[in-house]
Amino acid sequence: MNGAHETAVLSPQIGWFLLAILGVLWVILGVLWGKKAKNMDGYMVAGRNVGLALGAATAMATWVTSNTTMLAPQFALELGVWGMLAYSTACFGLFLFAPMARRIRRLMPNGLTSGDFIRLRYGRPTWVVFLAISLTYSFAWLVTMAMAGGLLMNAVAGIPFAWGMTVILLVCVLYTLFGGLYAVIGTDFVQSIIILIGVVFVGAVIYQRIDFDVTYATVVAEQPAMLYVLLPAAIIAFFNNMLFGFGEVFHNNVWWSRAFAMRKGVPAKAYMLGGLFWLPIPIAVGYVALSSDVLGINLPRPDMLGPLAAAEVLGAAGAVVIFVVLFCSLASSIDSLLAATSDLLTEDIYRKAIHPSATEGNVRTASIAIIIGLGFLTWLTCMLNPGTLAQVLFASGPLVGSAIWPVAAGLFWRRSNPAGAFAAMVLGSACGLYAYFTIGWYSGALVGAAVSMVITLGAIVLAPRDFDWKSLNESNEELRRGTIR
Amino acid sequence: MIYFPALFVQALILGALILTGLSAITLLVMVLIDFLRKRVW
Repeated sequence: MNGAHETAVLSPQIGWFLLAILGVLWVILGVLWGKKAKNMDGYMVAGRNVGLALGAATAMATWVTSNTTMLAPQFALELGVWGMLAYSTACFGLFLFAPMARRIRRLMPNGLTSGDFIRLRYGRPTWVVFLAISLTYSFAWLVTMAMAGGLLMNAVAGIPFAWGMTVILLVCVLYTLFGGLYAVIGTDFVQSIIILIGVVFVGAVIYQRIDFDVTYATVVAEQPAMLYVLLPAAIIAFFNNMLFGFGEVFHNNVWWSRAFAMRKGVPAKAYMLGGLFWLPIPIAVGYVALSSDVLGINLPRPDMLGPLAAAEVLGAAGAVVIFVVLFCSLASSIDSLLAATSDLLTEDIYRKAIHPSATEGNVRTASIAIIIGLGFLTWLTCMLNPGTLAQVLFASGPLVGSAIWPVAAGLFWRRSNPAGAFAAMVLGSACGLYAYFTIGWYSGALVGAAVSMVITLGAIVLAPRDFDWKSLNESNEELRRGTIR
Repeated sequence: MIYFPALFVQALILGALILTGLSAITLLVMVLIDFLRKRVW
């Protein structure tokens, strides 16, 4: 994994130069924007006044991970046109979260994390289960993103894995540390513009250079399955990906913290627009898969299709554009995960469970320590290079799936039962994991969500409980006095 | 076996590229409007 990689389309010198320029740029911007944070509300939820443009951009950029730019062409390569469409369905998670975000902002004007909601809505036992699910998933996602960073820098520019991963992680830790959510959302905007322009540039040049009729005729002759209308595996992937999108977006504090951060009236519009902006990206980047045969690309790894196609058609310029787009995709997700996961640890574990009477200064100090600690733990886990981590992330699909119904029902239905939510998460996770290991990876989230749905809805019908929505509005005074429910 | 027609695939790809480009332009216009109205943050 160390040393120049056979797929490298850039020299390590150019890779290091780009890494240095982008790293310094993000840290400077993070420090500048971070000056706006005058208190913990500023630091954790960007002053709760983020406008529509930044709100939509941050929703879109966070959802563009290295998977979107690297895995979407692979999806298209394996599942054809359906693969591109299947990957795009992940945007439905953002669409469906739009009305939830509006309600979250209205019901919890002082809320800080998704854990706050579960604790106030369902009580502490369910909160503990939810935190276990959410922290497991978020940490696994964070480590896999950081590892993807190291692998990609190695594959694209021959930068040793350990160095590439360390630099990307260090840059994200630094600007998240200095600027909090202000820095994360601000850099997300710049990164989203770079990603969008880069994707259009590469896609448009490939489209212009290669005659589409030749591309289509070559695919029909060489890989006709890519154009089949009825491809059962692809149709299953279509729904599986959509369900994954729901589970991930509904429960994760990455999305909740943005809902808390946006100005009143903005969240629903921002998530709808973010989803719309994200929707065409997997199709635009997946297009290179259709042209791979015409380009005659020899693929050492299927996820390297995008960078290799760009380098083939555009030469060094294409490789530079792809490198920058990949760096932005990774940074926009790693910074969001660092900020949201450290918020969950600071608010839910430190302030709510360990030190309820903590002053703002205590919380700020704890938050700094937690971001640095989380960054270090992520780095250490990446260095140990656990082969099983991707499996942990995939296996957390059933856990995430089991949280969909308790979260959605708890937000919209007054009669949701706390014991039902607890049982739905525990039994949904257990059954989902059982299906994952006995039937197959594609069934885990589906079974977890289905069991969770039956229990959540069954509890509402058989044992409805009343709930006063006002109790979700936990005041800052209540927090300061330490009288936390 | 039924294939996706060439015109459909071409429209899908061109549509995605145009939409992606429009997204970038829309975001820039939106931030400009927010900036002029002093409602960025």
